[in-house]
Amino acid sequence: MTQNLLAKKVALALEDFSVYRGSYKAVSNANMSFTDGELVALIGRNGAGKSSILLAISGLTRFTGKMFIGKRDCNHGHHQPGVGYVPQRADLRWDLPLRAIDVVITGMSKEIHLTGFRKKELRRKLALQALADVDASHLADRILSSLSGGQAQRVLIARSLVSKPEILLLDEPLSGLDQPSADKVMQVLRQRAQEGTLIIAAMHELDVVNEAFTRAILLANNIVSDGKPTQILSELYGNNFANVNSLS
Amino acid sequence: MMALNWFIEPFQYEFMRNALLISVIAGVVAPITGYWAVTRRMVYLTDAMSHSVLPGIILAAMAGISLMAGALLTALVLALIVTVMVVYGQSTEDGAVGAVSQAFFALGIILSSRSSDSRSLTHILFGNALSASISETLTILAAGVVVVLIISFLKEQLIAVSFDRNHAAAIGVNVLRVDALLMLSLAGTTVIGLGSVGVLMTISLSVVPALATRILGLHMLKARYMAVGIGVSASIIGVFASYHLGIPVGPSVALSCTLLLGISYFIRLFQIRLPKTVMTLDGVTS
Repeated sequence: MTQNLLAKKVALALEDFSVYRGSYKAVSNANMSFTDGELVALIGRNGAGKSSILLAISGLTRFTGKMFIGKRDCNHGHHQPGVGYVPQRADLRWDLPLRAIDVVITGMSKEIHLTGFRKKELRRKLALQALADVDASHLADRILSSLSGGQAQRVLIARSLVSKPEILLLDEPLSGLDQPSADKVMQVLRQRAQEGTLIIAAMHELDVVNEAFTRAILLANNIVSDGKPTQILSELYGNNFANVNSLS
Repeated sequence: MMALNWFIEPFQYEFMRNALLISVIAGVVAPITGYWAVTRRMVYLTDAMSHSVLPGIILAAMAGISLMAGALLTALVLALIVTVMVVYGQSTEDGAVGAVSQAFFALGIILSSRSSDSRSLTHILFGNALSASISETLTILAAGVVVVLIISFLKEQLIAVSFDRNHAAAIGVNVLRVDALLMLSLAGTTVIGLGSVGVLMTISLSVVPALATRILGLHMLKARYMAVGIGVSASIIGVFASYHLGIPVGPSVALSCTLLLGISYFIRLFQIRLPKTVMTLDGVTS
């Protein structure tokens, strides 16, 4: 737990939290609690349960146990308002003939209108605002297939920001990015955290976790250790982990 | 005068006027649903639906109920079985579609060989636009309006689900409802094809215009209008060619689609600039 726990309000609490993928129990009876503005990295090998936890919090897979978002008891296991989810970039259809801003606008597609045109201007304005928040206003009219990995990642983050989430979950946001792109994405995440959003990301880049995150949780189907990144990584690699880029 | 006659002559006959009308309806509706079939990579399912309606139609004829209702029902049963096989039965989607649709088609052929009216098989598959009655035309029109309304209603959610199904579900889009309504629309399109250019030829009207818009590099929101334009053009060209060359309407419309696809490749190959009203993706044709 961080030392800020008493000062800040709890944004998300998981109690006796188990996540199932099919019949496989990917996360087993975990207890975690997070406060506003934390920048948390979930680390561990592939299959350790990082993605499963994110999917369960965002309502995309089944869990048992208890989950509280703020004071709300969220045990129904589907769409969770207030939670923004940014999936792995590779799984999406970047070949579709759309512009970046169209993708951001899909973040507001929960309500449907017969003509599809109601509030069109408002949606565009909100989407542009979200793109500005991730320093990507200039990408608004770019075709998806022309975006670089880092640009695409920021567009996906913007798509989650349009719903003004209190909790932002990201699945390997830096995978496949070069250093400048990764820096830019981390800058965006730090900014959001400073503004009070709880950010939880599944991460493989331990050097970034060490430098930029406020807390790290090491998973192997349940919680192995939880604390300051420096402390967790020292336990794992001694004081020499800076040279290690990936656990897997 | 000669040229004018060429256009006017076919429409002295009521059956030609009717054929044009229902072909144009199919030319509007099929590309609208077909666009999403292509985008969602559901072309094989669409094709399978058109084959699978056969037993439903023949059973409906035997029972004396509407052939279109029989077709719609069979297409939906196919979609349901495929969905169950994929979700609960460890099947791949194309595997399930291949297995089930061929079974339906085989059943249809057997029923058809037992049925007294054997010429109906050709009509079902390749269309009978020339012999459509007023009530059939009205049914097609009504089905077309319903399908177009469903797709317009779902437009934004279809974009969201096509790009990222998981995220759409996470923000509260009912993805199962979106999928079910898309399947219903595809089945509806098949039924419209049944009464116009034929269930098999409808595949051309569904798939080819969508493909042409991709070749032309059109943005999704404009591509759908262009697809309708291509579909309607193909229907009109097909009906004229059918009259003047003495060939069946359905295949004539299907080949007109292919002709327009060829022209799209030509436009792309020689980088002919499209008018400004046709928005392309920053001039990038990819």
